[in-house]
Amino acid sequence: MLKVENLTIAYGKTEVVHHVSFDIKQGSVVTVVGANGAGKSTILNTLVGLHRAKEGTILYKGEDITKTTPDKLVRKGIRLVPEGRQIFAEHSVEENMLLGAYAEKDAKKIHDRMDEMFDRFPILKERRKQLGGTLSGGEQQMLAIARALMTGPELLILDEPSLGLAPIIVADVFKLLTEIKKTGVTIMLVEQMVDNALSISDYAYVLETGNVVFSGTRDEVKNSDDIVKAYLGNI
Amino acid sequence: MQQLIFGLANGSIYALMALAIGMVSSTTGIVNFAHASVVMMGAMVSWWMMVIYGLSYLPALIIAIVVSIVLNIVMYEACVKKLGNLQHNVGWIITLFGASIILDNTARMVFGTEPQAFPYLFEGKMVTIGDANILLHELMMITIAIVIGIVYQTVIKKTRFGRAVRAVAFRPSTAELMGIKSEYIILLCFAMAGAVAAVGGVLIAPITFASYTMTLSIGLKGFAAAVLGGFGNAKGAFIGGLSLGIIESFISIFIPAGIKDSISFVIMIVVIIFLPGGILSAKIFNKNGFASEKV
Amino acid sequence: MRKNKPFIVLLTLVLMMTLVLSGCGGTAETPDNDEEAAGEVIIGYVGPMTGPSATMGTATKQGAELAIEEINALGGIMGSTIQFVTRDDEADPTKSKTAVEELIDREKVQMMIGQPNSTSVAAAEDYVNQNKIIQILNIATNTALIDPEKYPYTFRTFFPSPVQAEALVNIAKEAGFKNIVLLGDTTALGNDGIAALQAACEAAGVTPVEAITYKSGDADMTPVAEKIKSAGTDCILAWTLGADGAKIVSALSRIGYMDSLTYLGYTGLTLPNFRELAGDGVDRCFTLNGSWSVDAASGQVQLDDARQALYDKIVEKYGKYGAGERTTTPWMIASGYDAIYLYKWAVETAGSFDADAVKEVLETKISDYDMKIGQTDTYRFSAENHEAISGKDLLPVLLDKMATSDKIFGDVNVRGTFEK
Repeated sequence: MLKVENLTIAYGKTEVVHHVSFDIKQGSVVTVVGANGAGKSTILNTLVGLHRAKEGTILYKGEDITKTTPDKLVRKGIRLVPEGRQIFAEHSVEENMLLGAYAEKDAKKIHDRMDEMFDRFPILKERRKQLGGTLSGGEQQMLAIARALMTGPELLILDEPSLGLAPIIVADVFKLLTEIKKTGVTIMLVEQMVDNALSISDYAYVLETGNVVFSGTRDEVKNSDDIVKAYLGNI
Repeated sequence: MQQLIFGLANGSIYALMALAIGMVSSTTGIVNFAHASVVMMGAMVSWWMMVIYGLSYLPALIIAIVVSIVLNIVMYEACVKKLGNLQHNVGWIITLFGASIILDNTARMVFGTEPQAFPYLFEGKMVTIGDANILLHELMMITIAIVIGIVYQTVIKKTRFGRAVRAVAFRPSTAELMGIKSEYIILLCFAMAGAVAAVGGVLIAPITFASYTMTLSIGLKGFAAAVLGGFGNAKGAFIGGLSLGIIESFISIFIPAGIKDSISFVIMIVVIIFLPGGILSAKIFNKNGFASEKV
Repeated sequence: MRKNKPFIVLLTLVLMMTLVLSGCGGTAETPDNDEEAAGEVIIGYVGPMTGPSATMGTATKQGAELAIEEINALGGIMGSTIQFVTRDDEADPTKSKTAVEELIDREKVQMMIGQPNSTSVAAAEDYVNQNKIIQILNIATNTALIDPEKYPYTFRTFFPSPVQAEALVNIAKEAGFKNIVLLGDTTALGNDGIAALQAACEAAGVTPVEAITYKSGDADMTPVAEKIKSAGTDCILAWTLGADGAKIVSALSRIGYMDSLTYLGYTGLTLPNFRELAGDGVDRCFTLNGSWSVDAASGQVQLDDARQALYDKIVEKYGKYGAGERTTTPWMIASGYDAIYLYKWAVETAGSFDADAVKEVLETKISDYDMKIGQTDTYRFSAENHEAISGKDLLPVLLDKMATSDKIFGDVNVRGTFEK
């Protein structure tokens, strides 16, 4: 579904990602693992068009999207749930979801999806008139995911969905991702809680200072001593 | 009564300027220093259309609005967009000041240096209320400004476009993740600010006369009103603009002319120091405050 | 994108400069010979040809050129052809000083027409006098510019502030106004004007009720009007600029007080479209003029013969206001024209180009000068007085009517009488 070849990304003159290649199969869940500063978020931002690649190509369903702008990628079915959730603090919950559906013109579809989301996240329905900034961290994460699902994306990318959440809520988030996977959405995940992430993943890439140093299925990663020592110390 | 109406009429122009400055600043974080010059251009263009081409009020106003919109769009493309990240690159301070000088000079070359008489709405008809003579034009200034404010506030609060504007104001990159083309929204904000500028220019021109220096003094008041009310908030712009107009109008009876403006700006400085977010940021208006981003 | 940053800033600056400077070129006329040829007299003029006061600067140049053309066609001054060198100073005193120095050092000018802007004159006046150059100020009004001891070679043919103040006070006194209010803005111009009016009042034994100030360019002049009303004013002596004056008049009309007073202003009140700006109150507004006005009350329909002839010449050469090149009143052009003829007369009377000889003629024989096309018919120069005009020579003229069909106010003023 998504094929990244030889991707190099730079901030000004500083290269932060070097010749990275990977691909994501339709319907799979892929986790990118790596220490802080390994370039994970940079790659995600580049995939959704917020940052421009210096070199390399990104193919989505065979189409070159390397230079496509974020608003067009949303319409093509790629959505990012950004790091820190970035809920619109002064918009109500409902407005946040309507903004999520900004690319959708069909009022009925928007309405249906909204109902669907409220079924799945009753807490959001309860707080639909409340401002986004007044929600708790966990509620905000639910809202961030619901907001991204408003256009019915085919590829859902999540940047550190567990960041700053209580463990019990983290478990909820991953349970939710499993459910989303079941609806046929392809998921790409960057996550510090590697154990949790791997438990729902089909495949994983390990990133170190801008290079892919290891890739393999969930089991291959778990069986690799080096990786376990370096990143999965908390198993 | 007389002073109250003058205060409200002048204040409504300050409010319109503050509103337009806020439109741009909310989505981009920048202050459009060239705004007063666009107001002037709006007035000059409609004067030109009425006097030279003999158009009537409304078509002249429409042409002025179109010209001001185009000016603001060009200004955005040439002076703002190219600069990239406006928080890191503060070149806009120079480019926008430059744009205002260019506009003023252009107006001087095209329209000349002499102040020109600009017709009042309703041919300067007056009504007498008590011992006050009030021009219908002044009542219209207040009405039109308030209508624009209400329409803007409604659009911003209730429509899809308004949501998008507020989303871009929150964070352009996050808005883009929603499928919003932030640049396009910013461009539309510049265009709207241009339209509001032209309306303000046409309304104030009969009072200041149409000339390339007509907004020199009121331009600063527009910024002051924006600061008083808090940037990017229609309610704030009106509270700031109208209160500044009324304060000015009343104090100018009691104090020497030379220090009138100082008083306005002393008030502004006090507000900046004690209420950096404008009058509306005062605690009494925000009982349900919250931290905007929770992690 | 980031790489382009300095470039864009630079480009913007360049664009700004280009715009500020555009239209400034092409005014310097360098003579094609370095040495002063025999049979040539070089006259210099520095003034703003671009910028806000360009109308004044250009008017003087146009007038001088018209005179020089005529004089050269008839053989010049005592056989010497006049060469005219001009520089644009954009009304900037620093540029003006440099330009004057250049004209004196490089072009070797023998006579100069003074800059229209007082600050520009002040910047260069010392140098002009050190080099013994005869200088005639035809527009600049600052009082201190004329001082026969300090600036022995500088003469003025226009009415400076104290002269205007004296005239305004005398006119008001003679008309019998009781509650006179002085009015001026808060800038140096207004302060000086009010000071001059106060001095003139004292000299004439008139006690004004109050001096009211306002801020130039303010949108709302109603508070000023209210103050005038509450002082029970019957006559305002105004040191106001045209646009401010018009705003104050229309504010006075608004509060219904304009009918109760007479508005008498110094010449800064003149503005081509004063009538449109001020509204109906304009028929009670007056300013000052000398002989470039007609006494309509006594049946006069045009200027006296000499001035009418010059008026026709100016209109023929520079067109009617607005359409042709002419951007200001004929009397302003005439003042440049007059400066050249005054110098020609003084040189020929002295029989020499020597500055001291010319100065002496101007100081002692001025009553023989019979061109009578300047602001007044009589010039009052003496060894102690380098001002041509006194307060007695000026007349009140209406700001409303004018004697010609030309659009511009002040083309030819109509002298007014007051009704109370």
